[in-house]
Amino acid sequence: MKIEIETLSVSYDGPIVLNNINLSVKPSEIISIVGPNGSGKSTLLRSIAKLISPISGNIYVDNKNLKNYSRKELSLKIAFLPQYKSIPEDITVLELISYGRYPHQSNFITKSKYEDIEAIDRAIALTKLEKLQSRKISTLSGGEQQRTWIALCIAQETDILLLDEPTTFLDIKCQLDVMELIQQLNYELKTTIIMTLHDLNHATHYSNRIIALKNGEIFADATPENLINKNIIKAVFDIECKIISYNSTPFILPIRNIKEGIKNEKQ
Amino acid sequence: MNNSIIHSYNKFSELKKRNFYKLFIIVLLLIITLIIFFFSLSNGSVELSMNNIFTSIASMGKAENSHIIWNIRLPRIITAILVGASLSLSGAILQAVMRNPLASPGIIGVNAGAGLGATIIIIAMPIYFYYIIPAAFLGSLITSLAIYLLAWQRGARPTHLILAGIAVASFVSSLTSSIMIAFPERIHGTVDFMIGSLNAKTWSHVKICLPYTLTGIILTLLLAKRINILSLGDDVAYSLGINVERTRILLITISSLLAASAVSVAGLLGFVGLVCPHMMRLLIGSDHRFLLPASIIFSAALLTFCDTIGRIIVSPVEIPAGIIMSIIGAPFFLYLLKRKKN
Repeated sequence: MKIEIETLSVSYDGPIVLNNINLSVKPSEIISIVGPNGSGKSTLLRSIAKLISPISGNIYVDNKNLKNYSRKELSLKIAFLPQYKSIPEDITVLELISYGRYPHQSNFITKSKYEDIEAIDRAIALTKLEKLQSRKISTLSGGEQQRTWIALCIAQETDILLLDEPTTFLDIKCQLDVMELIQQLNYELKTTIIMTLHDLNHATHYSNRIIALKNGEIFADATPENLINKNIIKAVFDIECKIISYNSTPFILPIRNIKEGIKNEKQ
Repeated sequence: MNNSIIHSYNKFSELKKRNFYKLFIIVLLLIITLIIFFFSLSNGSVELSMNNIFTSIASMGKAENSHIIWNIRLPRIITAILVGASLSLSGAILQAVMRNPLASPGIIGVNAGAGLGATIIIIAMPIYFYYIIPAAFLGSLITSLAIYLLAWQRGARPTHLILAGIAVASFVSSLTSSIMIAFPERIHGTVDFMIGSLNAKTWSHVKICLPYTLTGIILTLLLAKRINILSLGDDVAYSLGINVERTRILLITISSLLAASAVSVAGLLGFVGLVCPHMMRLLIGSDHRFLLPASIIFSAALLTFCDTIGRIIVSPVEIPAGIIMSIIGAPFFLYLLKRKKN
């Protein structure tokens, strides 16, 4: 499913947060949006999810303007996993995942149809949550909770999945688990994935395309191999780095001379 | 493939088993309510037999000796049921919508507004005493509307609502206090209203509450699933296709109408709307398809029970239901909380 963004500008009562963004997303791409805090990453993602309405510009999902989508229609095409979610106290893994079927069900009657059960089952299998499905979410670790939320999005069966910093608060193994899961989703279900990431090495390793935002504008938009170089990192994040190649993907090593930093401060 | 389908169905039968347990609790609560209903009908200053009760109800008050049942106890009990159901339903919805365990009808200004409306009539113009209910009703609705408008900032966020609610409620309460201080000799008239009492409720009170309670119950039960989704957070709810802002306005409107109708009839029974939903959440979980009916039934039963105790314990003196409610309810709630922790 295609997404076209044309001259999108967003502001929250005042300064422009996104300025004249043009972006075209091909079906089944994995796109990482990177950039410093406040560069507009989340805002861009939230605009695509129709959580923010732009001051100008248009977004087309599947050749139809986002403005003309009802919430329900959109929920059948785009699943969005926000960074902050709230978890009802005593809800189980299976119950939470089954809420992903809500867009497919009628508003009032709650009978689970065969397709619902199948979709939930697939989501559980992909996220390897079989053993945890009767557990209460509040008793799970952060990584397991995040997998459950992703399973909810999978059960929603949309062609597009938006993730806002999916690895935040997770330990290093859980981060890799989540990134691999996202990659697997893209490979097996051909889901188009757009996510915001802080870890540049995750972005280079797990996406086909990286979009670097700076001050609300697209600074660079290319494949990891073409985008990652010292000058761009310096320009976007204002840090020095060294780039090494490992298995033909670039690795970014930030370099900061701590002693020098302290010396500068003393002066 | 076939195996995996059977396996999936097994998985869902586990879910069904848990739902069945919840349904069982609801049926149990219904039976308890029925017992309390007849207990309350037969006990009081005059003890009446089951036979008396049935003939009175069957004849709709026309049979001999049926005056007490038909004109005094029955309307009072039904009012208690409706008021209890409305208040806890309102509280349960607000706790879900605000995603805050301390939310209750009081937080959207219902109590403060009703208090002011009633006080104005009782104290400042007692000759218009028959306007107490409409004045209290109007007071609550105006107050909760004011809170909603003040909290509005491209949509009303729960935290804004709660903070605006606290501010407006304390402002309105200070007006109530001012009126009380201006007419100190008339304060005693407001005591029953401020505590919450079901004394001298008649069929006309039933008629006031019934439409709100019934519509409220039907609407919220239909929306129960949406309330579940709403409790996952605004962003997730939007992503699952719910128009969060519209649903929130609808639910807050329903709960303020429910609470306003209850409070204007029975006075400020603060405890019901705050604690009864929590008691049921501890017992039955936070799936609103079960939580809402359980809260409705439980608080209807609890309020009727407390009113009956208040009626008979030091008869002929009556203790307002609001007091008994807190005396019985608070320790019971703490017990449930403690048990849950262990």
